[in-house]
Amino acid sequence: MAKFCNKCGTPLVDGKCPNCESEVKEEKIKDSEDKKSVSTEENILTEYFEILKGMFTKPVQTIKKYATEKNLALGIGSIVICSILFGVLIHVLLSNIFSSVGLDLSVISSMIEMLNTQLATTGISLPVIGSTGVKMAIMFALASVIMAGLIYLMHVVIFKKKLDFKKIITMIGVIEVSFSAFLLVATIASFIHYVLGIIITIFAIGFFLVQFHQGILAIALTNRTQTIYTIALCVGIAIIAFILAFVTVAVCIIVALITGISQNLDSLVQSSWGSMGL
Amino acid sequence: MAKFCNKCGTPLVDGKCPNCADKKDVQETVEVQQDLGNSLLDILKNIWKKPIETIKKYTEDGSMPLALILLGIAIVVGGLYTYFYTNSVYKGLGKDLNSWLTSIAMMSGESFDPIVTSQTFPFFGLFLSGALMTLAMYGFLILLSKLFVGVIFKGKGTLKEYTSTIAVASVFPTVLSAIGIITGFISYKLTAIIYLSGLVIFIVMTVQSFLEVLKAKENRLSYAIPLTVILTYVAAIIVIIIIAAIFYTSNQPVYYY
Repeated sequence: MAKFCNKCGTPLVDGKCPNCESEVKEEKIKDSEDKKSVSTEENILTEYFEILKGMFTKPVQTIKKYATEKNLALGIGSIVICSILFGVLIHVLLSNIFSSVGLDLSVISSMIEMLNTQLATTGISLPVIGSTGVKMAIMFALASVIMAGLIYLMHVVIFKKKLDFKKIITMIGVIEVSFSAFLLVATIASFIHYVLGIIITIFAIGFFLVQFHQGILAIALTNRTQTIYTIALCVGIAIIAFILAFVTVAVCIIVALITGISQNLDSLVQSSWGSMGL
Repeated sequence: MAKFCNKCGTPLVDGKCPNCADKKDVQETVEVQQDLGNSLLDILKNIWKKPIETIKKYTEDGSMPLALILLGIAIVVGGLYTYFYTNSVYKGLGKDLNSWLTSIAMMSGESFDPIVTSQTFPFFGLFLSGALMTLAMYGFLILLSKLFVGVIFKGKGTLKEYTSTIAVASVFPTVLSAIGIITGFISYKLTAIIYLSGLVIFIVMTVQSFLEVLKAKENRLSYAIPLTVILTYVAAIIVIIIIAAIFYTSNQPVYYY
């Protein structure tokens, strides 16, 4: 009978190698964990697409089914995806608006940065357009968390009802799945024409707000009147956030157009002086 | 068969006393007016505490005169709000602009003469445009709600019920616009927040009423409401542009050659 391990030479205990047995066990555990994580990832993906389909066909039932504490990871993931897509849409929209009038976003951004260094002594600073998409993505993620906080605050502090914060985050994540799809379509459409992108975005915001209304109705534990006032507050804040986003984009466009036009005028004046031999 | 009234002795005409029948008509009119007055007070009092129940009660009552009175009040307040808010924004923005420009001039060591913002706008033109805008908004909202929520996405409710629901819900923006007229003398920013609050509460109440009172299809509402609201704004803006163009061309001097 063997007394030493034929793999590592360690003395056997009860006919088994303490080193190699533990390695085998660890490998088995690792394999099963890998399989589990792959199946969880597959489940999350499948659920994400099921939610996507459900939010267009049966939104109320889909919200009720998926807006639970168990799906927190999916909810957070959806909020992150939606925030990134919102930032991308704003960036693409700005780029396409500028290119439609013959301006380049990166050139305009560097020009504004140069102007800001010149204006630094006066205390005035122009909005840096290049990072607007990133700012909008962060703003969207923050707005989603603020919405969840408001619903929680209205329930727990004002109306004294228990409601799990995880459930609220998941509900917001679930309704942002369909909004993400709309944002993706709007981004693609804005490559065709930015006006088409803006029209789809406006419809998407309306679609999102109605589903947000239905989402709060689905998870609320307060009475009807209290729920309606909670919805009004949250929808109001969401509308203000969207208006702010549009105003920021509009300001960026105005600043960029003014900068671009003044630069074009400068070059035009210089070329005309040059052609006159002066 | 009686030939004289048994109450006042007046000879009957077609079996009725001309004096007492008139009094009865007057009494009925007074009762209807009192009913309308009481209903208005009841709506104003209860819509804040039990909004959906109040909207449901008056939609099921189906009183068109009440709905038209509420919409009429909303249109008048809309006109007044437009006039007062335009003046408030003009003065407020002027002040803000002056303070910004003064601080910029101070930083660069130059002097700045403030822009004079004492101009007031003509009442009638602004009032009329505001009232017409409000009329167009409510008119299109009622028609498009019936079209999208009722017909295309197969909800229930007649045009009369849609009118009543929207008319009762209009109390929110009307009252908040009236408050906004007063706060406009203090701050145009505060007024904007109050007006926006009224608008948001109105939209939320209308959506909820469509669900509960008019039994709209809940799974189709996220398509019907954005279409209704967006097209209402587009249609109202088109109408206002047309009206403004008509006013502008009619006020242009005519040149004869």
